Amino acid sequence: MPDDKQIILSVSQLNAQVRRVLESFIPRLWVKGEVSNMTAHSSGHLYFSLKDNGGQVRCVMFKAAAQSLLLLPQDGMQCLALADVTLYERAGQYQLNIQQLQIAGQGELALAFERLKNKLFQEGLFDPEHKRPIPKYPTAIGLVTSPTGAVLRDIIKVIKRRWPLCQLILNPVPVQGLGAGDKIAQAIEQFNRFGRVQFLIVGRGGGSAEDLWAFNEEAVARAIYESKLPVISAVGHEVDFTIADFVADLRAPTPSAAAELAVPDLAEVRSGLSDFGVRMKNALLWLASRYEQRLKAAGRSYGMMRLADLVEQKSQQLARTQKQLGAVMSWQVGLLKTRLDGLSLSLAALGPGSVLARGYSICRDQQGRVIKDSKTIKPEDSLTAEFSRGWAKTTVKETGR
Amino acid sequence: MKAAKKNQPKDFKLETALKRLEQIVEKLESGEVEIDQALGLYQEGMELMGQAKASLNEVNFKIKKLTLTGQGEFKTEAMKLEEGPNEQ
Repeated sequence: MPDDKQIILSVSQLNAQVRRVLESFIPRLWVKGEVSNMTAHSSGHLYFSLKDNGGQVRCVMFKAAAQSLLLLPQDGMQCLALADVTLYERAGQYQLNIQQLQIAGQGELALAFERLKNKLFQEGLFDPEHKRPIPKYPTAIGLVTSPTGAVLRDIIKVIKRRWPLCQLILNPVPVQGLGAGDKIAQAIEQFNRFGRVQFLIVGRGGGSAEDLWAFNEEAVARAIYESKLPVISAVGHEVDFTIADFVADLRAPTPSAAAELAVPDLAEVRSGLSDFGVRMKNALLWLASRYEQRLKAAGRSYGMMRLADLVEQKSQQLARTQKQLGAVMSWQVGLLKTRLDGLSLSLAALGPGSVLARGYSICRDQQGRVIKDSKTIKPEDSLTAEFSRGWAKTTVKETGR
Repeated sequence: MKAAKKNQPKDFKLETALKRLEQIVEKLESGEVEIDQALGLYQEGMELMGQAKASLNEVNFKIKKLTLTGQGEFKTEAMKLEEGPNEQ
């Protein structure tokens, strides 16, 4: 029996005292050991033990600290933990309250990367046949990246300079930390439901392997694979390869490069268009001169009449087109018209007029079309015959071949 | 998307127009066309060029933010870039 002088403690009091002793006499420290009995509670707290050959200690890692983890600890992983020693009073068991957890060596991250890469490769997520082309002249592009930071500004700068014909729509996401991968995956999926962009650029700027980790997460890889909108990945620097890069339809070495790859250069497209104009004009003039020569050589009235007729008809059409096209185009059409006018002049010199003078005549139907084939007319049709001088209205009596 | 609508069909696609122009140019340059067909192609080409040029003048650069309304619908709103230090 204790004597009266001695204090009697309740269990709770005892545990509270031991806890105070542990917490005040043992400073925060680093402990290394192997993870076992790992449980991730739905509250976000992690419970596990650290052990070595000689013993083990219970550990808790509260949600706030656990959020900075890239990988959840798994049984068997060697870890280095920054911890406060404390007592779990309910169980009377001492435990570590983990503040930081480093998975020992870069080996584990690299291993996790290789494991996921192999798994997704086996499943066909990297198949070249699944990769879609990026639409060439976009009017709207979706961006999945951080709303702050240089990356967004770089992308905007490049696209605004090269191709200011499109809109950029940002779905802002955190690009690092636990949970960033899920947010990125969700943003990609949201763009697919939204639908009013032609493709996506998904990425972030350079950083450590840990900073880029979100782009190695399975959720991101699957979201890119499932995306109906083509995806350009743009993560970190040239040397950084993430799982997202393997799945993406196009991998850009950096975010600025992604912007360069995503859009054409407006000035180049404009000059390419002008080239088309010049080439068409030259080809046409060449064709016309070739035709003219052939006609001269053949000297056949029918062909010449047909051409003269055609030239007239097309000049009229071009005059109409010229009006429609407006001032931008008028010089080009004008040029052609001048050329065609010249052509009809030279044709006139040896053309229908001179043919008529030789005694031929041109018959036209009521619409003014030149009759080239008796099949196109029938008895009782009214025709106009045109002579070198004057004309006559006639009625068809009979046709034959 | 306003100034250029006049001579531009609703379903105008720059990519399609440029592809067709390429075909037209190649056909004309091949010389394997009759003169009236050539004139037709030229005219079609000129019209496409006019439409393409007009569409290239539709400078319409904007940066918007995608947001989800309480009803689960999407909307976009104009966004101003946050000025900050040039961190990555």
